[in-house]
Amino acid sequence: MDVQRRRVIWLFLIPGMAYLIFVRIAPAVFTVLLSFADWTLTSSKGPVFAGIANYVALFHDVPFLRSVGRTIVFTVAATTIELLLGFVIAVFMHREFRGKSLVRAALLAPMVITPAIIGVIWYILFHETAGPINWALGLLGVGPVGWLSDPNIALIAIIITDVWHWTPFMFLLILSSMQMIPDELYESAEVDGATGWQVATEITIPMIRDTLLVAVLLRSMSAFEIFAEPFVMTGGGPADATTTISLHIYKSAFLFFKMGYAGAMVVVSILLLLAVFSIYARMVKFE
Amino acid sequence: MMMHRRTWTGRIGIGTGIAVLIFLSLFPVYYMLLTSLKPDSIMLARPPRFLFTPTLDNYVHLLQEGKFGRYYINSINVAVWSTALAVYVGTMMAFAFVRVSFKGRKLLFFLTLLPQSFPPVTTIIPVFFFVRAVGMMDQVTTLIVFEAAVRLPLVIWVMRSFLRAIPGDLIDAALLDGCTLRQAFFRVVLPLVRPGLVAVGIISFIDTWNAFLVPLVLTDFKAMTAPVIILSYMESDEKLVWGLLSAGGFLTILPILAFSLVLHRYLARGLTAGAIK
Repeated sequence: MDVQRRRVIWLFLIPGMAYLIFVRIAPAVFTVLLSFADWTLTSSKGPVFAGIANYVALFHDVPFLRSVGRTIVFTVAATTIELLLGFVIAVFMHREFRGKSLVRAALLAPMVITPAIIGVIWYILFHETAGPINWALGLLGVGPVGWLSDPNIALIAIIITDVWHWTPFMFLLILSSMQMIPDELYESAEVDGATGWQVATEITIPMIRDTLLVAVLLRSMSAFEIFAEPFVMTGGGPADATTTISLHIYKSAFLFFKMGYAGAMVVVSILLLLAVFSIYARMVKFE
Repeated sequence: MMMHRRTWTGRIGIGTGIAVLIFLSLFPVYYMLLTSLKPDSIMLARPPRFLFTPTLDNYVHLLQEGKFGRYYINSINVAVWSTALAVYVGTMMAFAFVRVSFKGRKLLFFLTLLPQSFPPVTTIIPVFFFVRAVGMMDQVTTLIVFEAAVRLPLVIWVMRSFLRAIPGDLIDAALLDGCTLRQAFFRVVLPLVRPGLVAVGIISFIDTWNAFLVPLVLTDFKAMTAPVIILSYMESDEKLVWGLLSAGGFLTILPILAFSLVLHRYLARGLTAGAIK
């Protein structure tokens, strides 16, 4: 079988490995190298080694620091709301009724929709004069709200959009893990006369704790990188109010062609993600 | 099974809750469909019109003047071929990781999963330079090769868990019977992991179909995918924009909605793969 083993390695593993390294790993390494270079595409000079100059400049770059803060606010707010809503909906849906699988499919639909198109959908819904949201608020005597034109509100509009998009993901993970809790636990709680609140805090939440942590981790990592929705809905405006890190990097690299500088931003954003990741990893492991 | 006392009020409460949830979940998509069927004259009407005679004008306009069909076909090509490539290469790699032990296997396996944590923005700058330098900008092939590589770690991860469940004796027996390695892989192994292939295939298709940043950066006009071309309509004048945007948007999410409704069981399994122990 030794010949077979070698053939599996050479035919099945090595080509795929080379492909992965060439297309994914090498560019990531190159981005790190780039972050130490002074390279603006619009000038005729090629890349020049600049040491940590890009990083030093970044820490005095107010628009960049603001985009970091904004992205953190967005990530924490969106993830928290999605977690709470997802939990409530999962508890509500954790029962038997006719047409359950169809209802579940309908509730999960937003999760798979193309992010750029989600931007289009909510761009129309949030329109200040002709959109249905301001019309409905008008019936209640509120508004009109400048969802995408008021710098104080635009980020909230993006958060609402994200909550619609990703609450189903939280709901799906939480419901799937709740279905693995043995029914006897609930039955004995019922016999003991536990209230709904006690059941939730003393049985459900402790039993699905690991899933909750993983769900929050996965969701906050992808929320941190949000790009398509603000790109479509506001282009990062008004007055940079919705410019997230990804949008800021995109603009620096492909609008202003500051490649080395954008590379440094990428590295900083990844380090921030890793920091968050390690905190979560510790919580999952050691408790 | 949990026992619930079903009173009339309880039933009405549950029914109302479900109705509200379904409304919140589907209304935004329904409103886009509605907008795509509106004639231009009432597009920006105040208050918004919910009852009108639907028209296909926006779709006709989209397909004729917007040449949307071309870009839609680009999207299909990119999603289908990059999924095929990722599933093919990824399943073979997962097979090697499961069946053959060698020095440094763990390290190599870790290395294959590592890119899963790089969002597209981390590698797009060098990829942009490389693609430009070798003259591969604005080509569907470029998108296929790049997107397939992005899907690869997930395919390896999911397929590994499916392949592990196959007894090694089965493969050895096939080889002793005179099968070549390729025959054993395609005729014995793959049919046994079909549920895994379907699940991971659907997720790869959806993720690639939904990709935005990479096609935005690596295409100019010829190889644009559906979500990218729709945005270029935003630059035309206000009135026409909503009709085109919503018609294009609806056509873009149609295959994905169909997929998720028909195959939501597979989808749920695949999306949560690895997240639940």
